[in-house]
Amino acid sequence: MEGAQLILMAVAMGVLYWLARGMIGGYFALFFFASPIFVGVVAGAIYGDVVQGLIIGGGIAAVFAGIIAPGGNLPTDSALAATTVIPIALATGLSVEQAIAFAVPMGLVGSLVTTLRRFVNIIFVHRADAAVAKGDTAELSRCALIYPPIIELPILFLPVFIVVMFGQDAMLAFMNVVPDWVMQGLSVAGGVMPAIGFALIMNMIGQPKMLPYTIIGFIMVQCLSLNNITAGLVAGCVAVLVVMAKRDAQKEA
Amino acid sequence: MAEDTKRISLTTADVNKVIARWYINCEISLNFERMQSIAFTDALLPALKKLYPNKDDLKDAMTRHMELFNTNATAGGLILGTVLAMEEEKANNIDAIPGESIIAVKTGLMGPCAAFGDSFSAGTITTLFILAACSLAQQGNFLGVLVLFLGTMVTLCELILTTKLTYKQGRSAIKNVLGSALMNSVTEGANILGMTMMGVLTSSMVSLSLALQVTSGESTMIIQDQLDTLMPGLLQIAVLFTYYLLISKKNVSIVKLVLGTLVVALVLAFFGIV
Repeated sequence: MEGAQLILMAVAMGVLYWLARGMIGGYFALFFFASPIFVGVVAGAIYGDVVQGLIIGGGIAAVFAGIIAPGGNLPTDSALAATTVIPIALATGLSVEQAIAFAVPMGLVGSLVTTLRRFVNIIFVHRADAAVAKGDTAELSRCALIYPPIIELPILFLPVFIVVMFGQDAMLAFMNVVPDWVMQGLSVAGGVMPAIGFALIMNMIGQPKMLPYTIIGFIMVQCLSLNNITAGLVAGCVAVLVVMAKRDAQKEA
Repeated sequence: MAEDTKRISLTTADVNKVIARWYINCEISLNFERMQSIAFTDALLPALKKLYPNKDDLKDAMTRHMELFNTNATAGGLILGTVLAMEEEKANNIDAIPGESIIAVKTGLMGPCAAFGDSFSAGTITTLFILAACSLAQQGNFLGVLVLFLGTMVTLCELILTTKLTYKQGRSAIKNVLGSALMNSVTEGANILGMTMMGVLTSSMVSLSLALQVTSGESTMIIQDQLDTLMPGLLQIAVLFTYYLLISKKNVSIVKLVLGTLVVALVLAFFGIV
């Protein structure tokens, strides 16, 4: 990418990150704008290959799917990973696995940015206190809706804008310098990283005694070649049957 | 006299306004000092202004909601509805409920609501939608975006339902939601579905195969072919279970897992094993 297209991409990604992590739009920003899937579609549309954007976005989103924010603390930031790495991956022709291998460490940096934002917002607590003491509801609303996004604009927009503007050249230089085994190693790492996300989800929702369900799910697709939706339907039926059987057993007891 | 004045009550439109404001601004002013307090106070404004025409009462109401507050915003509808019901009661009889007890209800409920919201709605239900969206997106299917949108709307519906339920039925409704047998069954079923889907998605989204070959004399043995005869995809599921054990038994942090994976993959690639 170069010229106007590159600038448009950098601005769009910066704005998207600002919306996503400024949480402008609340949980819609958290779940939709911040999703690598949505970021991938936007980046793909600007680059001129929406499908490839969607595919890379889907791969990155899977790694981060299990990482929710207990108490609002993001351990890693899918939105920063997606807004910086997807445009670069599209422009330099990285594979999905390689994009994942760059995106995940980038996500770790992102948690610093969101922490910084929450320190900066402390300023407005005191403004809001003063507004409340005067009964000034309009000022309170400005503290809730207007001031934080304005002051966060440089914190959230600029890092992404700069990385997208200069990242693809850096990436091309990197790819030209490193030996083949490095790119191969990154591909392998990116290939297994979604399993980190899945393991986090398993740790959150299940106990070790539920591991047979995971093995059954794996075998349905790997050995029986069911597609994901069909396998999901089977899993849903099993879930209903097990829960119903348990409820009946409890009623009888 | 209180009996002479007309009872002030909130209309459906007022409650909807509060819900919309909360949904949009819940995290914008998030900060380390008092987390979501500005957002919560601002969200309540349409209701408070109507309930407390007297400016001093309004100031008191706003002041008490500026106390520290933090919860899962969509399950937080349970608190939002309860607070609306309590403020309405207080507005009609200012001595009926002391301001402190409204604060106490908020602070008492924000932990359980956050735990419920983070584990059930955000942690399980939304995650299932996100994962379905991922697997569609990775196949280049635009339905993935739609599924993602639907998952987002599910949490919005949860906010609307929980707020309206607790506003209408008062404080007792919270226990019914957080501790009901039906809710437990839904959670359990969703967890079974989730655990199974982790295996499904590992098969379709995790890739790992060995490049290693052993040559003895004239015959070349491809190690991956040998593994496949044992069980196809053995390495993928082994990687998943390794991560799971490291997380659940050893509490290894995400940072260490990610960096460790990069290092191991680069070393293995250097020696031509993967």
